[in-house]
Formats: sequence, C-alpha cells, structure tokens
Amino acid sequence: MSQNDVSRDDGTFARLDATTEGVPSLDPFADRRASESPPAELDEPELVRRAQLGSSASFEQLVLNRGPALYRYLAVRLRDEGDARDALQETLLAAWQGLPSLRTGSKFWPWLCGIAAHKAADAARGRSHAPLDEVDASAPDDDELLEVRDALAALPQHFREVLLLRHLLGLSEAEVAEVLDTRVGTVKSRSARARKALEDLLR
Amino acid sequence: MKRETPNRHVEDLVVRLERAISPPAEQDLRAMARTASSRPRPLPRATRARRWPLEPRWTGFLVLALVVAIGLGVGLGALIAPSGTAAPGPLGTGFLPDSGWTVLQSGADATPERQALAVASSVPLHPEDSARGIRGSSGLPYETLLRLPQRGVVIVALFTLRGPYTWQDEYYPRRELPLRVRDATRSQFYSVPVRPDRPLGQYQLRATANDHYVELYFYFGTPTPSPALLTTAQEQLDRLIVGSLTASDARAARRQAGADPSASKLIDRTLLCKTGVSGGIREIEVQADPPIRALDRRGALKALTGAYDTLGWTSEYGVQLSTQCKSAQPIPLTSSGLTGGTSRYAEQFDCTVGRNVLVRVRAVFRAPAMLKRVRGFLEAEGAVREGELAVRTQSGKPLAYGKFVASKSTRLYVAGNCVRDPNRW
Repeated sequence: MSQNDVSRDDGTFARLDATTEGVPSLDPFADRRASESPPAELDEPELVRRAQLGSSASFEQLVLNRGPALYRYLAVRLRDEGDARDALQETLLAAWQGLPSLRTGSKFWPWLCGIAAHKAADAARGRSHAPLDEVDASAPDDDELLEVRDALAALPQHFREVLLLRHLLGLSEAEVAEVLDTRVGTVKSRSARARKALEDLLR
Repeated sequence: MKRETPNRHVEDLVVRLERAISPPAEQDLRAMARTASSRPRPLPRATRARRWPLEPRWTGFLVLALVVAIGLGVGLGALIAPSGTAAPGPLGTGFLPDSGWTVLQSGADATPERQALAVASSVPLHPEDSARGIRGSSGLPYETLLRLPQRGVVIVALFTLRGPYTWQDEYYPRRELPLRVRDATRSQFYSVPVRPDRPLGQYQLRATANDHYVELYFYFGTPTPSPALLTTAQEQLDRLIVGSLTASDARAARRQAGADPSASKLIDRTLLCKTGVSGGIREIEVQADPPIRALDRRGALKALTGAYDTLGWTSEYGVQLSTQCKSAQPIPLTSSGLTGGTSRYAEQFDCTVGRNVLVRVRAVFRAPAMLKRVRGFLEAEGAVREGELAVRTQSGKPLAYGKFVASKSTRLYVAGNCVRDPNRW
C-alpha cells in the first residue's frame, strides 16, 4: 500500500489509480479529458438545469463553454486584463447565485451577457486608475485592430455596448434589447448609428 | 478614404479584435467557476399567494374528490407500505432527489453514537430492499445490487457526527463539498464481493465534511465504470447534503453572502513593471522563504527591484502588488528552463534584466479575499493555501519561478544568469 491509501484494520482497500491492478482511474479528467466529461455532451439547457439544482460540475462546464467569449467582451469593454478577470469572476459569482431564478434554460446566454454588461459597467465606474494609457500590455499587435480598439473606446457608451453585445457576443437585436432593458427599435437605431459613428472614426 | 461596405467591415473588425485577445487558461476558468460555486446561494423568495381560481361549487366538488382519494390512498398505502422508515427527501443529511434516481435516508440526524444512512440508486430499488427500508441495516440494498445492470449506480452514504474524540480524523481526510468521485478508492466491504459471478465496481470514499464523518460506497454495474457512468455518479454526489444548517451556519452563510462580491479565493495578476538600478546595475531580486514551524516562519515569495521596491509578493498571509506596474497578459507558471528546487533556508537571487519585466503572482486563499489599494500597493490579506510567483523578461524569457504550499514547502527556480545573494539566508 502506498502512503496515500486510506488504511483499514482489515487492509481491504487499495488506492485506485491507473497503475493499480489495471483498474482505470476514477478521475474523469485524468487521461480522457476530451471524451469523458458527460456535461460537455449535454446541451446548454440541460447543463443549466443541473447547475440550477446545485451541480458545480455542470456550472464549471458552462463556464468553460462561455467563459472565453465573456472574457473577451470584458477585456475589450474594460481594456484591462486584471479588471476583465475580476469582472468575469464577479459575473460568475452573480450567475451562480442567480441561476435558480432563471426560468428558461435556453435564455442562459443572453442572461449571462446581461450580468457581464452590468458588472463591466460597475467596474468601469468604480476603478480608480486610468483605463486607457496604462494598460496596453494586452493590446493586439495589428495596427488596424488598435485603431478599432481606440475607436470603440471613443464611442459613447450606449453605442459601444450595442456593438459589442451584437457583434462580439453574438446576441440578437431582441436579446440586446432585453439585456439593455430597452426596445428593439432603439437597439436597431443605436446599432446603425454606432456603426456609422465607428466608421467615421475609422476614416 | 471611406471604406467599402462599412457595416460588414465594422463587424469583421470587431470579430478580428475579439480573436486577438487570448482568454484565460482552462484551469483558470475552472478555478473561477469553483470559486463561484463554492458560495452559498440565497434562499428562494417566498412566492405570493394566488387567488383561488375555481368557483365555490367546483371547489366543493374538488374537496370531496380529494377526501375520497386520500382515504383510498391511505388504505392502499397501509397495505403496501414498507416497514422501514425511509424518507424520500433530505433532512440533515442525504441526497437531494432528482429525476431518474431513487433516494432514501434513515430520517434521523447523525450523532457521534448513531450513524445516519442514505442511499441513492439510478435504478428502481428492488421491492425487497424498498420494503426493508434502511433503518437499522447496513444500508446495503443487497437485492438491488445483485441485479444491478451494467449502467446502474448505487451510492450508499453513512454519516457520523464528529464527536469529542477525534482520533478517527486521520481516517477521514477533510474534503470540500461537493465530494469528488475521482477521490474514491477501490474497496470490498469486509473483503466480500457483492456479486462474485458478475463483479461490480466497488469503491469507497471517506471524508470529513461539515463536522461529519462521511463514508461513501459506490457500486457500479461494471467493474470498470465508463466515464459517463462516473459522471452520472458525480452528478448525484453533487446533490449530497451533509449536516443540518444550524443558526450559526446560517449566520455565517449570510455574512459570506453579504460580503463584497469582488472577493475571490483566487488572486492571479500579471504585471509589466519597470526595473530599478542598484549599484549601477539594472536588476531584480527574487526572494524565497520556506515555512519553518520552529521559527514561526511562513512560506513567501517576493520580486523586488532597485532600492527594495516590491513588484509582487505573496506569502501565507496574503498578496501585495505594486500599483506602479501595468496589467499584462499572463505568463506561464512553470520552472521549465530554470534550475533550483526546494528552499531549505531563506534565499535571494539577483538577476540582471532590461528596462521591463513581467511578474505574475498567483495565490489561492482559504477564504475569499479582496485586493485593496494601500499606500502604493494593491494588497489582499488572508490565509493563503498556496502561492506562485513567476518572473520573465518582457520578451518572455523565464527568469524565476517559485511556489510555496502553506506549512509545507517553498521551491524556487532561477535562470542561469541569476546570482545567489549571500547576504540573505
């Protein structure tokens, strides 16, 4: 028996790992990570349902699926690596606590985007350091992209928000309207004006 | 010059901008998810009573029908009810119900002298096991196990309240809820295979959680459970409740829920820092302190520059980051390309560097902590379980990497051009 074994008086327990008597490891993430995690095979509403019941594994899978896009949105929105990470963590905390109140699992993504948008707004309001000039370490190398990033930053916030939610997070106009608590018509007009304003800035 | 097809172009640019940003690593996302899901959820709000939708005469008819139905139910139930006292839902300990699972529990809270039992089965319990119930037995649904199909899972949980005598602690390692199937070990209860002709996968997991000793027995319909089967078991294990919520627990949960939401158990920052000159040389110092219990010293790692200006520091007491630095993309936490090992004494290495260095500090706290601005630093105080420090040149060449595990060890690895400073030991 190895040091890690849980000992018993009758000595009947043996540590279970990949090397013990040819018995496979019970760690579902050990060596077949890609294929063995059933939550990944489940569709999002089912993962949401399980997470609502308290399954942290399902919540983890939801975060793995949606976290990268959320982070990118927050990084563009806040233009600071650390602030984006903090805002993402806050978004996830709020999502975990608020999940039981989400009625429709299929609306999880716009609901999560809404939380992220609010957390980003809170972070932008609350931060005490300069958001733009001191945080270029995460900036892309491409000059054109740098221009876009600066132009986005120069847009009024309600224009920028619509553009990012529509094109970076892929929400529909109706979903953006729900996130921003406004009408679809307003989203359409803001979207058109935001594109025009961005285009003018990029000329 | 005005661009062609402006709308399409703007969308493309936003998408390209998105792709240029690297998301956090998978392990960081997992850590964030776990930090979030370790928080208690607030209790659901009470729902407002609705107006009774039926007219009075239909209400009378409904009441009559209910009385008849209940009478019939009680009569039939008395004929077919099991003699045991298994309860279908969780009380202080047990499994939360879910569709496709049968859950039973002994119905009484565990004490130091009396075990509480709970069973969860992914297949319907055999009538004989249902009839016997689980109170007073070993909790083993024997007939169900004898017929357990290949894709079936049965989990038997035994709970004992941790009493004044804690000698058993060493057999029940402290674990956080939800418990993990992957921590289980193969076992045969009292050396007896339940089904020798068609062996089951039999595993055991012991833990101390919420002041209870928890002993779990997993029975899979096959000796080599598939990943899908393991995850099915894990999903049910996620619904394991251990211990009643006492008033003090509730107060603690409320305090935690009311705490600042930006607090997190994981603080992980990478900084781009300007370096200082010391004795005409532009250099940084990397310090490592091992935990030495006899001297009441705690594990710590620190990166300094110039006249002892701290860039990043983490110890068993917290984290400190210089606000003179800028945020940067994370650098790898690895000792690859460096030499070193466990620090037996406090040590320091001086590394000659360029104008800027990248410093990453990662600390896992035992309870959520929050960075606050204090005199030129961002600081987070709290007990740190493990901390890591990595230093690289701005171009990414590794200079140093260290890791400490609270009360255990500190390891430090440095690049070949770093020189040990004999003045610190």
